[in-house]
Amino acid sequence: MRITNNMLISNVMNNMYNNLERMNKVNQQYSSGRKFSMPSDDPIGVTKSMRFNTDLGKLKQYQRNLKDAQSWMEMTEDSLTEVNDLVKRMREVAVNASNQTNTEDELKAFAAEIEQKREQLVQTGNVTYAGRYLFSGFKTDVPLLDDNGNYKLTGYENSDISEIKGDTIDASQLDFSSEALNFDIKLGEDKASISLNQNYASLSDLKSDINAQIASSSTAIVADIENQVGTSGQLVFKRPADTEASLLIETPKSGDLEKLGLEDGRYPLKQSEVSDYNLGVSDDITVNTVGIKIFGKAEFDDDGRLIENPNYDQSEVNGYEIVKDANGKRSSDDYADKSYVLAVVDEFTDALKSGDFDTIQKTIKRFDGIQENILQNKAEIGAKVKRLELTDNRMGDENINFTKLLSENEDADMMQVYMQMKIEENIYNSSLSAGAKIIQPTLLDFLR
Amino acid sequence: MAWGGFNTVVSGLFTSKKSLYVTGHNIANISNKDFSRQIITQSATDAEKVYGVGMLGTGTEITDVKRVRDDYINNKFWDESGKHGDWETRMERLKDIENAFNEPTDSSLRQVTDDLYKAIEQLNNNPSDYASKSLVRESARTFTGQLNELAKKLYNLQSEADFQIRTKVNQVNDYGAQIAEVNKQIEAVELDGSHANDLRDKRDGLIDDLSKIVNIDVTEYDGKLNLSIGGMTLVDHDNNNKLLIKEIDNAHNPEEKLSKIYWEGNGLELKLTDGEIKGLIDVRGDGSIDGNGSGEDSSYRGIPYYVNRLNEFAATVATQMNRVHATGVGQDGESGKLFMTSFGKNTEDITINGKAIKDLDLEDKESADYKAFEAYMRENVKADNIDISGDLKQDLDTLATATAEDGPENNKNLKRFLDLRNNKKFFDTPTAQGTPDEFLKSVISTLAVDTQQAKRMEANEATIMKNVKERRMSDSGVSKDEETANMIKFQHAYNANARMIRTLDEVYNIVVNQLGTMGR
Repeated sequence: MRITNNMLISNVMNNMYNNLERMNKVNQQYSSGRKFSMPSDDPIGVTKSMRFNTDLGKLKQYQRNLKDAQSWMEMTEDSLTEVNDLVKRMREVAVNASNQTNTEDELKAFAAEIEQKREQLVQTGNVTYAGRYLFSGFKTDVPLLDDNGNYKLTGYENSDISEIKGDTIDASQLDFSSEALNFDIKLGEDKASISLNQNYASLSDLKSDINAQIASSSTAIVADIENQVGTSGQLVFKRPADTEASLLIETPKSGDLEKLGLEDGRYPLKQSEVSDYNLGVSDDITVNTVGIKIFGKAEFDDDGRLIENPNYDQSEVNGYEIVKDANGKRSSDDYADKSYVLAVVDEFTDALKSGDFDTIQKTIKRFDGIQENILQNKAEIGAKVKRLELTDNRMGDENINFTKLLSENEDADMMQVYMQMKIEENIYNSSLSAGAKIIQPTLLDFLR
Repeated sequence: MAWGGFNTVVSGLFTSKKSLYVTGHNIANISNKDFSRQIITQSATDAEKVYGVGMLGTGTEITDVKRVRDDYINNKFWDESGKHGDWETRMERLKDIENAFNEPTDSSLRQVTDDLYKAIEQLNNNPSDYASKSLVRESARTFTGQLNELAKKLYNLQSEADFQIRTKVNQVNDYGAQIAEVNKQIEAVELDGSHANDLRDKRDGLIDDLSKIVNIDVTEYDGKLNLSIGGMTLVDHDNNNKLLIKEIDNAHNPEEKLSKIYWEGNGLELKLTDGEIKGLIDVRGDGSIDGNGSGEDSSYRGIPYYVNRLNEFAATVATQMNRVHATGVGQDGESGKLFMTSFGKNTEDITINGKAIKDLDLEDKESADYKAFEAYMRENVKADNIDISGDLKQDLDTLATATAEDGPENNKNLKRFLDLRNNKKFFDTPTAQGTPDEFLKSVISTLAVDTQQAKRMEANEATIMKNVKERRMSDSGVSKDEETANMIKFQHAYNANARMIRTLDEVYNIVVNQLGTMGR
């Protein structure tokens, strides 16, 4: 084949470009420390990299979740220990008091001590961690118990309500003939009991019936219909202008007042209000303990005496009731449940003051039961904390593994890259010198 | 007869001189890339019959100066050049798309998706904390912002490709005009049968450059050249047809119109099979959602394909997250609010089939409400307009962390958000495509594989071009050594002829001056 000088030069240049390209690639690996910089350099490597990075990110987050879970549970454990200590001390007092040799003064001193411990008990029930109430289930912004030992679970204070106005209602929706609606309207201490059991044809019929029923009570509340448009309007209850007391509506069951366009709210604490933190893809842990498990629900017989059933597994307990309406919110403790533990302490205090040794004797057994329950819960939490420790260790190992896999995938082996760089440099140098030798001489150099 | 011998030698002298001229021309053009070496055809002039001697030669003459150029190699060059141009532009454009996606770095779409989920996990541990809620909102904003950015980058690439197409069409028209001009000049020169060597070289050079831009077919008939693209004539001897650009709508980015190429004369569309313009058109797309460039019906996967996938990503993420969000309850006690909307609209501004969002049954994926909702999202939410909803922008309490209104610690709805991440049915229309992470990975890996293929094809074509160029150089290139040898050859010939003249001169001198001077 006929070869011209230009072909030689062209070939030398081509090979030079190839060498330079390889050198550039190796240089890039060396200076960035990575095997590839663009997805097209290594499609599979890049998709693996993406997955590892995501997995590593998830793992780090799970580790953070674990730490949060640990702090929460440690606080819970500490609180339970405190409750247990209080109950232990109160049991000692009960034992002391039960031997009937104490004087009345001594019994009074015991009662005073128990009252102190009682206050502490309530405070422990209302313990907070980073501004959240530990035992209140989902309602972490409100305390669990009030000073009387009832479940509070609301933060709302009584406000002054002069008028209660509901949403728009339609006369065609007011059929109470099959199921009567009973509720109370309170004005301060006075109360009017209303029972609706007809099928009301119009809103004015409803109004007249309610006013008739109010008239037979001792209150001066007025019911009215406002903003009436056709068959729809709003039901309003007003207090007389010269009264200072607040209006309140109460029903035995929450949700009933919606038919009249009014809302009432009972916010129970449920056992199902548990917070789960994620520790893995389908691995989560319940971090909180619902107050019902520790403080139980008190039940009273017809004489007002405490029944022995602590109801730690009660599915829900009622706290204060809230009535929400167009004007504001109001809470009351009429329907609130009382905590079993506090009820026991209260009966004990009364027994000390009145010298009722039967009850004092029973109280010792009750305190035993309470302590057993607390220890059981503590054991559960202890087991969970242990599980967290093991998971933490495992996560630490996984972290190392993933990082290693990621590095093996992405990072260039510096030794190898350095060797490669030197080799390419060598090749480049030799091709330069060979090229120089080839392209210079021509026939002209040898002619004289 | 008397001067016959003289003439013979003088013809040799002239011939050698002309040969030297041709050699000089070759050497002068040694670095001219379009030049094909020229060789002379030398033949003896007609012999004369001399009575009693026989046929006596009368010298030599140069009958032709032609250039060495193989048409087969030319055609091969023009064929492969188009293919190389095509793959080279595809490779460059795909690399630009890779840069836009910016994997595997910390500022990629995958990273902001991860960050959004991290923020939601953090909120899961402390659902009442406003700082954590704010973090979720900001992460969501960053996520949608990144999608917007990416879509805009792709739109920019599309309009850059369009600009290049317009520039190259101008170049094609230019080349066409120049070639027509040269054709005329060649015809004028070749009227008397000589070869217009340098003009032909010039024309071949123009065709070389043109062949990279579009795929051309060259035929020469009766000494006239015909250049056609896809069966339609671009240049016919000294007439050239022009191409023109008409604007067409761009379904992805209605603000920037795209260009479509037509023949000026008869208004037909330009059909291309190779060349840089074809590569640009395939990557840019043809302005429709599922036409050329979208990957549908085995068309090339260009910018429309990636925009479509980003839009799918945006719409599906918005749909699924909105579904979980609207069926949850925020701290303000309200449900039925949206998490992400197009242009950051408020939930109340959107109605589906006349119903407000909170009246729709979104829990049941088979319900008509949900299907209408899904269709609405797909229609309206795109990667370039997705944003967090106006409700969320104004009030953090609308963030639906809970499933019921029973306390600020209720994080059950957040758990549904987090479970979405691992839901293999997240992307399930039209076909199952897995979780959000898997979707992104498959987009990136498709891009990577396509770019790698373009790189390989370009390298292949470059090698083929290099081989063809080499063969051309081997055939038509000027070799310094060869020309030097020729130079010496012709120089010697010249010297020899000059010597002969001197000898004949002396002979004539004797005949003319010395004969018949006896006795002087």
